[in-house]
Amino acid sequence: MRYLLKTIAEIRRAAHHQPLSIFGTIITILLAMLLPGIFWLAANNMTAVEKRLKANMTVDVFLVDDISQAGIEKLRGELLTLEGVSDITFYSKRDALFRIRESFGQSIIQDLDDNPLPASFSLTVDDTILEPEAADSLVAHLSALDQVEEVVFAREILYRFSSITGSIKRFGIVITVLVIFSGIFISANTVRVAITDRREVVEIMQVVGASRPYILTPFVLLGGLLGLIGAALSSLALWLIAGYVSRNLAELQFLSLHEIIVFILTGLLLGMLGAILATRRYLKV
Amino acid sequence: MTDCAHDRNFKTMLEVKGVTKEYGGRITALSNVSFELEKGEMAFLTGASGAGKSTLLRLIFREEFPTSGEISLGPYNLAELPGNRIPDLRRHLGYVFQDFRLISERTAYENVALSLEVAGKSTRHIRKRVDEVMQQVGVWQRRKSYPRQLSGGEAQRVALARAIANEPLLLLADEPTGNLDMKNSRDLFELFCKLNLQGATVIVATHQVAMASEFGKRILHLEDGALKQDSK
Repeated sequence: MRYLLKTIAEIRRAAHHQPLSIFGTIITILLAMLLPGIFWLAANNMTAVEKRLKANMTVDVFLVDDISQAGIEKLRGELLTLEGVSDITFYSKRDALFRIRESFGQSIIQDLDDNPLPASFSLTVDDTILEPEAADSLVAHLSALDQVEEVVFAREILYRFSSITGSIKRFGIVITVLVIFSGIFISANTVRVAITDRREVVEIMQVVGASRPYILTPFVLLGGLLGLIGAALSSLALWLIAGYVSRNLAELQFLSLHEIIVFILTGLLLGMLGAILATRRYLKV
Repeated sequence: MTDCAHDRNFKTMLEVKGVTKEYGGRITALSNVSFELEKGEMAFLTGASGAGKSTLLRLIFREEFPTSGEISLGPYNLAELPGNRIPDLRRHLGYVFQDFRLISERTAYENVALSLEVAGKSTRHIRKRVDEVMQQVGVWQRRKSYPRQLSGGEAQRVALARAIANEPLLLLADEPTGNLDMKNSRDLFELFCKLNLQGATVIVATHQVAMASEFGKRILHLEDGALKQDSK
C-alpha cells in the first residue's frame, strides 16, 4: 500500500514538474498509435468483406444448347461428386431468361424471337477451391466435360481484393513496428527527463539501501501509465473516426472489446519498455 | 560469508587488509592500508584533503572496488558481494555526508523514515523508531521542518538520525563537520561518541585532527594514501 502511494506520489510529482513533457508524450503516443489502429480497422473490415465475397463465390457452368434432360441429370451427378463443391443449383434456359429480365428489364430481350441464353449449373464452392491452383484445375476439368459450353469463375475480383487486404496488412505490420520503436523512444525520453529531475532523490535512496526495483518501479509505472493513457485516447479517436466513416461513407465494423484491450495493453507495454530502457541507460543502480 | 547480517556475534566488525586503490594506474589514492575495527569501537580517520579518507569510505560502502586487498564488514566479504546484494549491505551501513544529502521536499521526519521504508519496516515500527532516533540526536522538535528550514547542525543531526535508524553494523561519516562551525562540530563529535558509548561502531573521517584528538578515541591517520599512524 505504501509502495503504491509512493508510486502515485512520484507520478503526480512528475506531472507537476514536467506537465508539458507528460502531455506531449500522451498526445504523441495517441497519434503514433492511431496509424496502426487505422490499418487494423481497415484490415478487419476488408477481411470481413473478403469473407462475404468468398461465401457468395460461385462457378457458373454453361451447358451446350442441345443438352437433353438425361444429360443434365448425368452432369448433375458428376458435378456433385467433385471435391470442393458444396452445393449446386440448376438454371434452365427459362430461368436464365427470367434472371436477365430481373436484372436488366423486359426491353433488353423483347425483340428476340428465340431464347439465346444457355442453361447452367451454379456451383457453390468451399475455400479450398478458392486457391488459384485448385480453381484453375476445377475450371479446366469442367471445361473438358462433353456437355459443357463454357465455365465462368469470376474469381479475379476476389484475388484482387485479397491482394489489397494482404498489402494493407503487411503495410500495417511495418507501420506497427515503426510505431513500437517510436513509442518506446518517446516514453524513454520522458522517463529520462523524470529521472534527471529526481537524480538527487535516487542517489539518496541508493545510499540508504533502496533496492533496484524499489527505485525503478515508479519510473517504469510512469512510462506504462503514459502509454496506457495515450493508447486509450487513441482507441477513443479511432472509435470517433470509425463512427464518422460509417455515417458518411461506408458501414465500418469497429474493433471488438478484446481487440481494444489488446490495443490499450500494447500502449501500456510500449510505455513500460521505454521506461525500462531509460532506467537501464540513465540509472546506474 | 554467512548470509545473516543480523547475526552480530563477531568481534571484528571491519577488516581492511592490504587495500590499495589506484585510478588509471597513475594515481594512487590508497596504498596498502590495513587495520581492524572491533565491534563497538570508534575511530577518527584523519588526514589532509586528498589523503584518501573519502576513497577508503567509498570502498567500505562498496561504491568502488579496491585495486588490491580485501575488505570485510561483519558477515560481508565485499569482494565477493554480488551487485544485487549491495542494497542489503547499505541497509546495514549508516552513512553521513558532509553535505547532509537530505531530500528537500520531505520533512525531517520523512527523511529519517526513508531508510526504514526501503528496509521494508512496518509503519508502526517506523513511527516508533523515527521518534526514538530523532530524540536520541536531539532534533525531535524539528521533525516537521523541511531541510531548508534547518540550520547546518540540525540538518546534520537529521542525517545522522537517518544513518542510525536501521541500527547499522557500522556508522560511517565523511567530513560530517565540513559545513559546520566549531561549536556545532564539537557537538556533533560528542554525539558520535555518545552513540559509540551506546554500542555503535563508528568511523568518522575528518581533517580536523586537533579536535578529533580531544575525544580520546582511536586515530587512523592517512597521508598520501598510506596509513601513517594508528593510535590503537
